[in-house]
Amino acid sequence: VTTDVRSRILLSSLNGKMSDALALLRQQQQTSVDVELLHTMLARAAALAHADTIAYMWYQHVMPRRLPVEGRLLCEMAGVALYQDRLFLPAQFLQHYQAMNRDRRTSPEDELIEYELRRIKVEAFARGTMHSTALREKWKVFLQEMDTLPGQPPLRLRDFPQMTKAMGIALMQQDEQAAALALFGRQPLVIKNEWSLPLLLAGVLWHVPGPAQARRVLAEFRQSYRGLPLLDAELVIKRRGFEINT
Amino acid sequence: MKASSKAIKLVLDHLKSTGRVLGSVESGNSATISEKTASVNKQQQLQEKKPSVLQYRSYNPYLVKEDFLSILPENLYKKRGQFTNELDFQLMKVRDPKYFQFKDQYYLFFNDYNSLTEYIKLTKHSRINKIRVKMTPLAQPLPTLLTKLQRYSKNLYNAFRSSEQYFEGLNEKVDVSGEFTTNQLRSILDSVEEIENKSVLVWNIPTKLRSHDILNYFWFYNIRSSFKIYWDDEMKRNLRFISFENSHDAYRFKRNYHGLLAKELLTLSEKGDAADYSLEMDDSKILIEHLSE
Amino acid sequence: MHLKKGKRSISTVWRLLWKRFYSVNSKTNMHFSRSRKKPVTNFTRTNGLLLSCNGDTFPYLRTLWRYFNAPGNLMFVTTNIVAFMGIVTYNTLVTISSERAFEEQMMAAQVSLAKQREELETTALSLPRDIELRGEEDDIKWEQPDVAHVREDPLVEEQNAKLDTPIKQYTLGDLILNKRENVTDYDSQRAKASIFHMLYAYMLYRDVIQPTTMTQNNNSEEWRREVELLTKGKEVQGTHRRIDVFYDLWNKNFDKIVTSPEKVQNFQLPNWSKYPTILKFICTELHDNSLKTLGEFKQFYGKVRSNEVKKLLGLWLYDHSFLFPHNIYDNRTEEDFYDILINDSMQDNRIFQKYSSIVMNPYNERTQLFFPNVNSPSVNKPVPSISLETYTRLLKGYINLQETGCKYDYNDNIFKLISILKLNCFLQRNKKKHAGPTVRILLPRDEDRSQILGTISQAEKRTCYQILSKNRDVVALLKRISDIQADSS
Repeated sequence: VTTDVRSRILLSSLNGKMSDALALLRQQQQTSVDVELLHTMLARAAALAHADTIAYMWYQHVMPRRLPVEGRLLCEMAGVALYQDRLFLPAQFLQHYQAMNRDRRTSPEDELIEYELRRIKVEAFARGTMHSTALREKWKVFLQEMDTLPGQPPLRLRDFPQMTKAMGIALMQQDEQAAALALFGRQPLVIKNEWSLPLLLAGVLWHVPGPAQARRVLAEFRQSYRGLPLLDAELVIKRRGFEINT
Repeated sequence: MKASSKAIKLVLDHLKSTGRVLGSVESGNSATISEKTASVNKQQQLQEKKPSVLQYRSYNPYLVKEDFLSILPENLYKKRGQFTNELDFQLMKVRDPKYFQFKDQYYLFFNDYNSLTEYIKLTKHSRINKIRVKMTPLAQPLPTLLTKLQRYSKNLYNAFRSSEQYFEGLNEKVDVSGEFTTNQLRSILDSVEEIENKSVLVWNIPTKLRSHDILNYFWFYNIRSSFKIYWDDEMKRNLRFISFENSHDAYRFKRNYHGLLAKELLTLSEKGDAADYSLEMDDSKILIEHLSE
Repeated sequence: MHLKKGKRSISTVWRLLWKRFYSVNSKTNMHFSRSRKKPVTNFTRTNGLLLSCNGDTFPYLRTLWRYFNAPGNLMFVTTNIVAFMGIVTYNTLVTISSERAFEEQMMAAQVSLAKQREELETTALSLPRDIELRGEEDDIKWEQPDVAHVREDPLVEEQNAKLDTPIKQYTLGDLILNKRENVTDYDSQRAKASIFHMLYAYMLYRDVIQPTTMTQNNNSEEWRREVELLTKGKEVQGTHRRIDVFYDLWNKNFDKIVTSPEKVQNFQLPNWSKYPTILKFICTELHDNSLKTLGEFKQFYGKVRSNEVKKLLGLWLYDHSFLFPHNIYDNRTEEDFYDILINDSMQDNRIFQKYSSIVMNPYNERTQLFFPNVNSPSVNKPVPSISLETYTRLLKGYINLQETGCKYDYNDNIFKLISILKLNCFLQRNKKKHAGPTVRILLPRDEDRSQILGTISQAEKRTCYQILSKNRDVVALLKRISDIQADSS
């Protein structure tokens, strides 16, 4: 890359013309990308939610050459990939991050990043299987990633909008409603985090037709579990205007 | 056996606490640097003032204080999260005073000129994101800088309170009081940081959605207020300032919705008809920036 | 007619024995403990058992059963059946003295091993062993690295323009570009950072414990100052250098820190002009080597002459081998390197044990890194194999360790190596026309073993033994094993 071309690519991305920058970059030699160019383009693409650039940079440079990418930037890239339906990317970002931080005792910052990348992986699965696969499968993926997080951080319904939406679509079918309730009983995996089941409960409550069903769901849940944090369930009940004491 | 492992521990502990590696830091005294900065800042020499603020230019908006600490020798053998800050500097991501956009630079505030030169000396050969760091002592006299800072701080504070306060406040003059101290500077930085933690800027929320629609749809977050800080009807662009009751909600809001297509938000909030958004909305995306980033 | 019949019965015996071998083998420990007090039947070449072979097949069966029922160490017996059957099948066809002598030696070696095991159970050998390795200076011409001078940017007074739009338009004139830095992959940079920091700390440690009288004056003023910072008022001089202890502490507490992605990305070698000679040399080499493959690491290792540094690098490589990509079939340089590492660690119990486990334990993930694979259709996956030469060196290493008489007993390892040699050897055709085939040894995992070894024909085995019997090194080693026994009795 001549200095001139490099400047033009940078200029386009700084001015928010990501498509132009990407088109120019595609014409260059593979090996011509330097650290500043790569990093600036990724940062701009993440800020402007330009998924094509993110995907190109990922497949052409970051992944094959195992380049380090800042955790915060990686989270941003993952979120963009999720909403632009590049649904395979988040899982790969997570894998990349984990491989580089293999058996390293982590800082609080690392924990935040790990949480975020796993969350987006779960969301991407829910989004990709919005109208297919049973609720049970989505729940299993959730447990695999979120429930196993070290330190058992609080898990909140609001951080899983895609999964919540997918639950709503699933719960419109009769058999799935029964299946959802069955999930309060036999679990596909051993549950470690006290916030996991309440999240499922809150998700179901958000979609029940009315207070009568909500009561039944709550009763069902109480049969199996006591003493779990029901913060989200309470918020949902209040929001939906049900008069139920939790 | 014991004596030998004692010697090993002695060496390793020394390295861990000091990070001294011969040849990684410029040896000798810092005279050369002080001369250089002095020649640049003749005006300040007359005033017998020496700069205590460093400027770092970068197009990378993701840098945080830890990144500027990690390049000091003292943190060479320490984990991120356990860094020390012997020189006791503060970091500020520089934003414009009106729309709070990142201005591609960071300020490092030191307590005095000596710690500033020390930082330059210690990090002369360091790199951030593989790029050799270039720090420039800020030429502006401290009062000028403080005035700017106060303007930013005041506008931010007003925006956090309400849209009326913000727009009224834009035309007001900033009071410049007589003497400035580093304590004043610190308190400004602290209050700025607190508000930044609870504020986000959002591009491209469909104009169909009013403030109450936003409060309604994002009921799961403690939103204080939300108003349009900038709009350009021709380009169909608008920028909203949203303030939250706590920093965690602001952080989660950004993480959970950045990059969403504007038209998807419309359908989600059940405010748009199918025919409606396909015509009106292009492929613009919800872009969210958490000010504390 | 008679011969055919005999052949058939022999193959039946073979099948029986294989079964027997495997079923008994799993229980050897039990039998072993039960039979520990019983005396071992003493087989030597002169007891006439082998010489009684006369071409008739049936006496063999009788001999075999006698062999089986002998009141002796069952493990010894079972592992020997294979060797013995080799003799049986072979002798039915033709008798060649050299091969037979070889087989006998193999057996004799195992007999003596079994004896030693018995003895060791009653009297454990323990001799103090302290070998200090002297380092030699790397005296290589070194060039001063260029220090690039970066021009300071002139200070720019900021304009206080009032903004009317949050969208900034950049122009070419605004752009502030930094010097281009090429992207580097994480793994090779990580290896460099890790090695540099480890050796820097080690050199500091080495000079800190150096008695003041011995301080070399060829070190620079600056380096001596770094050392003095540590020695001032401390009683640490004159203690022994503990490379193992140093490595363990460093690896546990420092390696993970200096190899975080962020630190690796920003890592660069410091100005090494004031370093001690060895460290200067190391830095020059690290600077010039891209260190992306094991082959490149081998080059780096090959240039180092200090035994201490070699030892540290050996320990380091074992723990960091995952940083280098695996080849699947063409591992010639890697295997050569393994050979070098084994050779270099001959005198060092700990490193030798680590590296030998790469061969002894087929589940060691490093096996795939160092050894070329043979594509085995029977299990439909590549199986690593090792050259006879390297294998012999490994065996030699264990025999050396056993001979030096240290506190450990390496009988089991030697025993295992011999039985692997017997069972897993196969022929590899040479690509060159005139050279004959070479013997290699397969290293399959347990689940694939029987399937893979089943594909090696008897004829191939026989040829292998033929080649082995002509290999002076192998024969000499087997003789040494017998001699250990002779010495210890």
